[in-house]
Amino acid sequence: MFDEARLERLIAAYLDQELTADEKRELEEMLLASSRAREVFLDRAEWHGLLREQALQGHATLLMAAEAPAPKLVPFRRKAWLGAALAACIALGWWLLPRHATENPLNAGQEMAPASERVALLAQAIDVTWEEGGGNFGAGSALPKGWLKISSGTLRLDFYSGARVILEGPASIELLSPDLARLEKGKLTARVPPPAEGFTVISSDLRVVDRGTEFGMNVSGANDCEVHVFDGEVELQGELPEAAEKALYQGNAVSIREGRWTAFPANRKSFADPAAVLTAAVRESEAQWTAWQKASRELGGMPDLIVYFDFEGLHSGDAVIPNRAAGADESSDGSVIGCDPLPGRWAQKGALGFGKTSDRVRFRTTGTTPSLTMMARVRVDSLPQSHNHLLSMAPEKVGEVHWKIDQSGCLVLGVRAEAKLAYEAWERLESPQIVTEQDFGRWMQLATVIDGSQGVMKHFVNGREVASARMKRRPPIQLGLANLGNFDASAPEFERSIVRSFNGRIDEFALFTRALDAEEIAAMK
Amino acid sequence: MPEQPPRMTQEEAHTAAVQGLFLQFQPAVRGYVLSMIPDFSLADDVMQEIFLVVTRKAASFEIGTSFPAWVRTIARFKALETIRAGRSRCETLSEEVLQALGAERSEFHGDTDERLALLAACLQELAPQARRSIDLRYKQDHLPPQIAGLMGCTVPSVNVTLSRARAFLRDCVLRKMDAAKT
Repeated sequence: MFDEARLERLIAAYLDQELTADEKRELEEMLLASSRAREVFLDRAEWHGLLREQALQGHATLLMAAEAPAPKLVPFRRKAWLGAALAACIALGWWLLPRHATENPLNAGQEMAPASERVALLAQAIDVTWEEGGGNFGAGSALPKGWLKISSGTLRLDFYSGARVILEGPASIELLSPDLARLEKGKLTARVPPPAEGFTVISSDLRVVDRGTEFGMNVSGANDCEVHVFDGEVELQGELPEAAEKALYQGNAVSIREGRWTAFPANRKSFADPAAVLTAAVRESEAQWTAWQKASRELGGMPDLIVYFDFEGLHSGDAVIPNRAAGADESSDGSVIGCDPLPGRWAQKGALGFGKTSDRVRFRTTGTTPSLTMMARVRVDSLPQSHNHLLSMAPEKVGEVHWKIDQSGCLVLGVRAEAKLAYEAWERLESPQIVTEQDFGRWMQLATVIDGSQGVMKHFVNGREVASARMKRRPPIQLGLANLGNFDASAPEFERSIVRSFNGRIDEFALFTRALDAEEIAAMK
Repeated sequence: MPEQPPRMTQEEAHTAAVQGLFLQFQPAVRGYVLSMIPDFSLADDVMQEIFLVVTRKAASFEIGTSFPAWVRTIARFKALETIRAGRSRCETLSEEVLQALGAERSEFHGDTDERLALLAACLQELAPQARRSIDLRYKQDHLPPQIAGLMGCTVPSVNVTLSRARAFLRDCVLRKMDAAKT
C-alpha cells in the first residue's frame, strides 16, 4: 500500500511543475508499484485537463474552426548527457583508459535497440527454427520492434502491455508496439488481461482489436485470415463487407478468404493450447537439465579442475556451497554471503542470485599456476557498476586475477604482472561488447583462458572465441582468496570503498589450473 | 447526365464527423496529454498537432468503432514524440512509467460537456481566494511561485489552496452528477 495523501501531494506537485528530482523518483516508484496509484494519477490528470479546458472555453471552438496552422518548429534541446557520462568515468581511475572501438562479431546485424524500441519479452522458445533475417533470439530476450520469422516451433511473447501471445510456426509477425503486432502468416493465440485491453493484431486488411479476451488468429496468405474468439469479445476493423459483424463474441469465428466472409463456430482445438505449450516447455527443460546433469558429472572429473560449483540443491540460508571438483577437500568449499538461491537456466536447476552489493561466494585455493581457465554460466540482469565482477582472486598480489564485465558490456580480464599500483602493472584482455541490454535476463556461458606457456589470453562466449591477445609479461597466476560475483575493496589504492558487485545469477562455475583449448570449451557449452 | 455535385463529398463529411468526435473528447484528450506533459502551452501545441493528425488520418477511422481508443493512440504517440524530442521544459515521467500508465485500463469520459457545465457552477461556489488561485493557475497559466507573488502569500500556502480547491471541485461535480442520476 502507499500513502494516499503523499501521492496526492506528489501528483499536484507534478501537475504544477514543482517536482524535485527526489520527489519525481518517489512518484515514479509509487506509480510503478501500484495500479491504484496509476488510476488516481490518471484521474487527477483528467480533472487537471478539464479545469484547463474550462478556462480555455471559447478557444476550443477556435481550434476547430480555424484552418489548422502548421505545427510550430521548436528546436531540439539537448540534455546534459555529457555531465553524467563524465561523472561515471571519473569514479574509477586505472581501468578506464581509452578503448579502441571494435567491431562486435556477436551482434553484427543485431544492433542494440534503445529501451523505447523494445516491446515484448520472449518468454519461451520451444523447438524453434528461425528464418534467415527473421531474428534469432533466446528465451528471456527483450524483443525490439521488428520482424520475427520462424519456420517451425512455438514462441511465447509477453508484450509489455500485458498481452500474452503464443505464435505457432511457420509464422511471420512484426512487432510494432507493446500493444500492436502485424501477423503476416501463421497462427497465434492472444490472451489479453484487462490492463492490456485494446491489444491489436493486424493482418493485410483487417485489424483485430481486443476487448478483454482470448482469441486466435490464423493467417495463411494475404487474402486468407481466420479470427476465433475463445473468450470475451474482439472488435474487427478495416475494409469489411457491409454485412460483416464489427464485433465478434465468445465461441464465434469468421474467415475472410478472397474478400468472402464466412461465420462459423470458434475452434479452440485448431490452436495451440497454452497449457500444452507450458507442458512442452517443462518437458524440454527437463530433458536439457537431465542432459546437463550427466555432462556436469563428467565435468567434475576433468583433469586440473580445482574448483567446481554446480549450484545444485542449495536452500535459503545455506552458508556453504560444496566444491564438486573430483578430489577437492572441504577447505575449498565456498562460503555463501548474502546470495539468494534462485532457479537457474531451467526451473529445476539451482543458481545463486547476486543482487545486493555485498553478495558473493568466497573460496580459497592455494599455490600458483602458469595457466588458468575460468568458466561460468551467468545470467546478467543489469550492469549497474562500472566494473561488474564475476571473479576476483588474490587481491594485491602479483598474479592477482580480475574477471569482470564492464558497464558497456565488454568482458574484461586483468592479471597483475607487477606489484606497483599503476595501470601498466596489469596484463589485460578486453572483448568487444558481449552483453547488450537485450541480453539482460539471458543465460550465457563465459570462459576465459590464460595460457602461460603460449603467452596468450582468450575470451569465449557460448563456446566461441571472441577475443585474444598476446601477453607481454607472464606472471604466475596466484591462487588464493577469491570472490565469485564480487571484489574485495580492501586494496590501499582505493581510498574509499567502491562497489563492483555483479547483478544477475550464476548457476555453474569451474576453475582449471591449465589452459583449456577451444574444443574443450565448446564441449562444456 | 452529369449530377449536381454534392455540397460536401463523402470524404469531407466523414472528416467533419471525425473532427466533431474530436471536439467532444477534447477535454479528455487534453487531460491525457497533460498527464504526460504538464506544461499547458506545450500541451496546447501537442493538442494542435493531434488535431492535425486526426484530420489527416480521418479516413482511416471507421465511424462506429471506438473513437476514444483511436484518438488515445494518436495522442499518446504525439505526446511521446514531443517528450523524446526533448521539447518539454518541465519534468516528465520516465518512459517506463508512461508505459505503465498507458497500459492502465482507462476510458475517456464521453460526458465532458456535462462535467464542464457542472464545473462552471462549482467554480462559483469556491471561496474568493481559492477561485482566484484557480483562475491564475488555469486561465493565466501561472505556476505556484508566480501565483504566490501575485497574491502576496507563500508558495506552500498556494499549493495547499490549489489542492483543496481541486478536491472541492472534483467532489462538487461528482456530487451534482450523482444527484442528477437519482
